[in-house]
Amino acid sequence: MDCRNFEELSQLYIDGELDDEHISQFEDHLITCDSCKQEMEYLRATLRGIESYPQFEPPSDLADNVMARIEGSASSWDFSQELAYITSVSRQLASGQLTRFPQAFATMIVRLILLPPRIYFRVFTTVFQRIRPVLVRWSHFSKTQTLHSIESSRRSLAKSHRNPLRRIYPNMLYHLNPLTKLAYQPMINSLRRYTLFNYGRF
Amino acid sequence: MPQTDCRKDDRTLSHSADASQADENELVKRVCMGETQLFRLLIERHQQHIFNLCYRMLRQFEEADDATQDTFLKAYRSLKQFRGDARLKTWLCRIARNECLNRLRHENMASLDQQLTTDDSFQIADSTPSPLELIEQQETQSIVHEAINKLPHRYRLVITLFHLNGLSYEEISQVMEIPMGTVKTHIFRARELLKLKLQAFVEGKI
Repeated sequence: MDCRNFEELSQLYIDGELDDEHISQFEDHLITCDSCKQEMEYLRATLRGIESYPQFEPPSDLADNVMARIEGSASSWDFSQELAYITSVSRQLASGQLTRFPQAFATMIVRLILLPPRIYFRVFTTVFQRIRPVLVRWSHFSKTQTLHSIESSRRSLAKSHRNPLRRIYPNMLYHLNPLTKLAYQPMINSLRRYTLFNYGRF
Repeated sequence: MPQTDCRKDDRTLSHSADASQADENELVKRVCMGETQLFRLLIERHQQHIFNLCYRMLRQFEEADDATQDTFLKAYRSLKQFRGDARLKTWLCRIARNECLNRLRHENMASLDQQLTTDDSFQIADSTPSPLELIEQQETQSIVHEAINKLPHRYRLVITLFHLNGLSYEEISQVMEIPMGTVKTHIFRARELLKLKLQAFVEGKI
């Protein structure tokens, strides 16, 4: 034991991490070496200073605020936990880890059923908001645009001396979605028959 | 700001620690099962440690309040991930430490650092006959406190966790995600820096 490794040993001594042999060596050195003794006094004073560091009381409404925030976040729509659960179950299914499949599946279904009605409502409104523009476009197209285009093409066809069917008719078919195409097929067929009858084959 | 003198060293309370840990794990389970109101007990049990840790790190009362609230909120949201291997206190300290580091990083607290380091407001009486008598005086504690505030944040954190929150070396290494040897080095180095500041002050003063 000498003054060179005093720094490390003094800290270990303070924390009670030295064994008996080193403790006695250390204490013997302290008796003989004045500078190390003084260093030790400073270290002890420092530790007293650290230990006397005041503890502050947290704000009295801290717990209330946290609980209010927790309840606030719970009342808003939070589907993340259910989603995480469903994802984990499907991942386990995919990797073949899930041995008790019927139980897990039943639990998943029950959890989905037991979701509060407001969540269903939110899901419905969210989904509806997302697909509303598509629905509007479809309905508009199928109810007004298609009829209008068929009617106008029929009229323009009737007026025309040349056969515009080659251009208008395939374009119109291209724009129709399959369902409306199916619904208007009889009308289209009659139009085709009418044009074929009036203008001949093209 | 209210201050309390009561200070408990948790390392000396190891007998009751096991019981309280089992109790806490039970509480955590019940909160996870849906008894949200029980989380208030956990908050009340740990708020002082966490608040003081945040206050030491951020050095602003309002910031520390926000950081403590966010810590508990994050803890609540990820409570299912708490496996019970470590103490809840260690786990919370880890969340609080990450929260404080984020705040220090994002909110540009560098200006505050400069302000604090240039602000030497503490004063000590001149009529002190010897260093040993001087360091017995209560004012010398303010030197140490002031010096702790000026330490780099990782040293401030280890000192707070070890001396004030009563965490062991191993628990601090879990909180700070560094090896245990590094924790010891940090603690020794922090104490040494504080000691040097005290020493420099006393010797400069006489």
